[in-house]
Amino acid sequence: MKRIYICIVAMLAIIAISSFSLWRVHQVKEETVTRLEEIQHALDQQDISQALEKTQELASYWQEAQNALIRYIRHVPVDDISNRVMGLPALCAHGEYGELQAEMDRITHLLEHIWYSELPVPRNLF
Amino acid sequence: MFVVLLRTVILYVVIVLSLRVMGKRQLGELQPTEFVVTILVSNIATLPIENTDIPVLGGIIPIVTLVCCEVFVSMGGLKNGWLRQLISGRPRVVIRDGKLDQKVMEELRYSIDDLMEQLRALDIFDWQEVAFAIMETTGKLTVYKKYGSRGLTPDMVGLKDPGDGNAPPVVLVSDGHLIRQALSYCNLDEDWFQATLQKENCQVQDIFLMTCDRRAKYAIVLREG
Repeated sequence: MKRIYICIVAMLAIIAISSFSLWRVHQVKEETVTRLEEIQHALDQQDISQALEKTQELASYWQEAQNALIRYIRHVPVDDISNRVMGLPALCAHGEYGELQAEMDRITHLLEHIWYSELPVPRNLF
Repeated sequence: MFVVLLRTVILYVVIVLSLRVMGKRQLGELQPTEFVVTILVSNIATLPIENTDIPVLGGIIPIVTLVCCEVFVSMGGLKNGWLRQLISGRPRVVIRDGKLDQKVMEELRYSIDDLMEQLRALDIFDWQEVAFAIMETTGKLTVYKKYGSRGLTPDMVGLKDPGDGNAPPVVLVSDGHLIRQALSYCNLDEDWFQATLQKENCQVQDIFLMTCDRRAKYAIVLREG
């Protein structure tokens, strides 16, 4: 009977870790998307210094967020987002606004893909 | 490379603990589900070791989940005969009353070569010695010999049990360490043990192996060098 209890505890721990990882991914996604929207808003307002500041803040935030994500997510898509996020301040500083917006859209898309891939829905199961 | 090293150690510990949770029988003959779990666990464990882009949890969670499923299924099979039969199948009688059941052998896709090989592994070179042969769910053949082919037993020749004849000897000292449960099993005490050491003119640390039975019959192997 001891084995059964150990297994029940182990399964509960796994479910808790899985739920926590899902919540964490969602939290990072929402926070990152919000920051990207702020950058977009600053660009729309032609406030380039504000946009630059926001891209740098996003890069700092992402440094911490990716360390949490790679515990639960394969590194390849996270690294892809990291490469793009780290390039945003440079694009903003050099006036590459078209490329900047394209990169932000790609980051948003990648985050949505990561988030949706983690959901226990039939499309992901089968 | 340190990452690979540490991941290997982590997953090794996880697998060893998992095998312990699954139970000792996992290390012996395997039921179909246990075989599947063993193969899967070994394959899954290599993924985070070979590919450091995969989180360690990506190996630990499936391994622990498989082990838990195996324990739940085996516990369920213990309580429910139908489930046990569904998962593990049932033993099949291949030789019944000294006769080969060809229909069962065909259903099991069990050839004559397979049968003879398994009989030889049981030191049976003449199938006619066998009264019953059963193919177990693990794929192992178990055999009940005909009366005339069985080994002679004390009961057959009317010998009386000398007392404690059913209790096997146990290891009393292993590599210089006394096993107190074994001492209780043999219905002996510390005084007897010390007296024996004095008689043999040795210390417990000098003993590599000491076995003893309930008749206080012991055998000592001293350390070499």
